[in-house]
Amino acid sequence: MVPLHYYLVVSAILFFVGLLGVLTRRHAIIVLIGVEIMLNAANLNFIAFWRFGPNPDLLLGQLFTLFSIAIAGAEAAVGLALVIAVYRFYKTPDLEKMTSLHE
Amino acid sequence: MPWIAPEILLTALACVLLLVEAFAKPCPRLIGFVTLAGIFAAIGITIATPIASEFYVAPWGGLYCLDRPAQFFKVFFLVTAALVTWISLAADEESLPNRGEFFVFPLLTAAGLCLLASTMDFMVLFVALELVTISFYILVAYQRTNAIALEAGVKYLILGALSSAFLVMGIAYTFGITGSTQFVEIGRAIGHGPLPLGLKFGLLLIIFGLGFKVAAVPFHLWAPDVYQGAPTSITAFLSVGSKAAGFILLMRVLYTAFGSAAAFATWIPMLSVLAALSMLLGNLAAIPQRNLKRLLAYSSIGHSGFMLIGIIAQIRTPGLAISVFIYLITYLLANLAAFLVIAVASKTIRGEQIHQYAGLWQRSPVLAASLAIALVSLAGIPPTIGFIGKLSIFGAAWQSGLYPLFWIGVVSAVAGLYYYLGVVKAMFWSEPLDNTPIPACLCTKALLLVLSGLTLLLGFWPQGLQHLVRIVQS
Repeated sequence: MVPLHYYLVVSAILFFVGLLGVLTRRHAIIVLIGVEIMLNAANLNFIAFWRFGPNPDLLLGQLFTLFSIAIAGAEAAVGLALVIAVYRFYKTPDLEKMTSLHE
Repeated sequence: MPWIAPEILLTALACVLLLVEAFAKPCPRLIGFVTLAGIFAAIGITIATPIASEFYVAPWGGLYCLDRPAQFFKVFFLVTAALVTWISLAADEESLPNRGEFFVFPLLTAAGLCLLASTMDFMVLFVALELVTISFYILVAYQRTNAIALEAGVKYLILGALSSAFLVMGIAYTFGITGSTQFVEIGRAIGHGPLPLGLKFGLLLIIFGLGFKVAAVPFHLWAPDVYQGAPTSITAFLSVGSKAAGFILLMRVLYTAFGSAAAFATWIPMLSVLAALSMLLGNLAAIPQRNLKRLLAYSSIGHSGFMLIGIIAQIRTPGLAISVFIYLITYLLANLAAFLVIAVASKTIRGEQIHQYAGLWQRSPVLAASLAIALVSLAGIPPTIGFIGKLSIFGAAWQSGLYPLFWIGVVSAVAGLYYYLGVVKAMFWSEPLDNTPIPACLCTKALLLVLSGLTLLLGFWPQGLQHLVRIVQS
């Protein structure tokens, strides 16, 4: 069987890939995808910890992951709606073009 | 199931109102009044629910609790939601699209906040927190044809989602090491031994996530832009409701789940750094601000720093930190009064720049006096209630021997005087740009009188406040 820390390493790599995407990319959709990758990294962790944990019969990790997937979906829905509104207004999905604040 | 009745009522009312709004298209103000009635009903139910005598009752196998602090925070959040709805009604911004729906979303936020006040489990915490945050994403970017609002919405969305990802990752590690998501079980699993590395990492990520909620430096980057771009009533909700939610969660998580001596040694240094940076940066960066909402954003960052001191100082007290409760009450009264004045005044003066508030005293004495009392209370000058709040925080810090934080706090509070009083000076001793009086309806004036009256009355008579908080603690 694949040991626990393999999963943790994959999840950590996914988390940093997502974080890098959020911090370096300027396209709004790519940034949202980065956040989703980070959330999925956490989900992977939950499933791995649950499977290798002291009481896998409790289904706690699976339960949390299901909630987390649903919430990530809601967040993406609101996020994409907002990106569409931004695109209609600025005619670009580039986040750096939005500089109307900072008086 | 009487414990969760307020949350059920608010959610059901929101669903019904959304459907009614979609099909019948009633007058938006009517929806606002129904929302207000629903929130008052929820307040009544919360107060009437009996509390069991033990420290907490735990229905749902320990996921949810209804103790005195939970009840206090529920009433706190619902009063905030009611005042926010009032501010929305008073501002009555014609520029908002679908104004009916604008009154409905705060109901969902309030339901999430009430759930947060009672959570004893990371699963409930995460779901309720996201309910609050996602409805705030929608509300912040509500003026979707306005460049500033859109930019604020996108910033809040991206940074908010990022902080949720950190929080979930932190919860995952905590769950992995301790095998539970319940605060009490986690505390039991940690015991008195040293914290494993994975758990320290998890704790760090959880503090990242919650630090974003309370807008503590260095997780404050969203606050000034979002406060400025959001509709004024939503700014008020963010600055009071969202911040108080962050503090009840910090208290629950840090005192219950991470309440061992080894855990204290891990999170107290982190929180001390956050508190010191928030107080200094919040109060110093507010000085050059020219926009009143932006100024209040930086001031709210500073207030987060003061309240973080309260959390660190009272780790040994039974129950939760008393000084934070007192501070939150003072903060609610002053901040909501200030935002109500801004919402009403900006209808006439069409802006939130401080120079536009010059000579407000001659244009509307009630608004000017209320805003002045609110700002003086935020600055912490006696005889207002804000002084009592600062006193209890600093007193707790001194008694716990947190001398560096105490002195940083005092210096920041003194720096804060400068910009709060700068606004007061502009309102009273500057010539107005034009002399047209600013109209305000009788209800708004009455509400301002109540808020300012409480700010002054409780400042003169702090025993009332202490009595209330003692009831909460018992």
